[in-house]
Amino acid sequence: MADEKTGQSCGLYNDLTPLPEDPVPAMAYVPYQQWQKDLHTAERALDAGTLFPVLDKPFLGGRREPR
Amino acid sequence: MNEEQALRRRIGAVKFACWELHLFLDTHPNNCDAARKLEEYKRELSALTKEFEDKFGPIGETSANTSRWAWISDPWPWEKEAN
Repeated sequence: MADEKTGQSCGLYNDLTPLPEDPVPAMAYVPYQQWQKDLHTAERALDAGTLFPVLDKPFLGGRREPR
Repeated sequence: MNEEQALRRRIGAVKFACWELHLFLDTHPNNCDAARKLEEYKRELSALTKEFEDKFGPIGETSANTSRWAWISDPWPWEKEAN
């Protein structure tokens, strides 16, 4: 069944690591999004614009933490 | 914020969560946790929609629970008692 840790079941895309094994030098890579257990609540997601905290990047304007 | 607006907002939030999970599954097709979470939100969405339609009439033109012509009884947007 699903590998609980990463949430990937056996199958096609098993090697979905954030970066490929053999990253080519001088190439830009965007780390591949991984599943995470703690999602925003639906209401918070509506305000934040995303359900995934890892993608939730509010503009802080130089401050350390959101308003 | 009356009950109808609160329910509409909740339905909107749950629908947004469904879209988010759907997009995640587009790029991570075999992720069981995401699929399970999507099913959960979909069930909640249909329950909320049914509740909304029982109380306030059709939520959209494709509503299955109310009669197709229920729109006629609602006030038109420009009629004052609409909001």
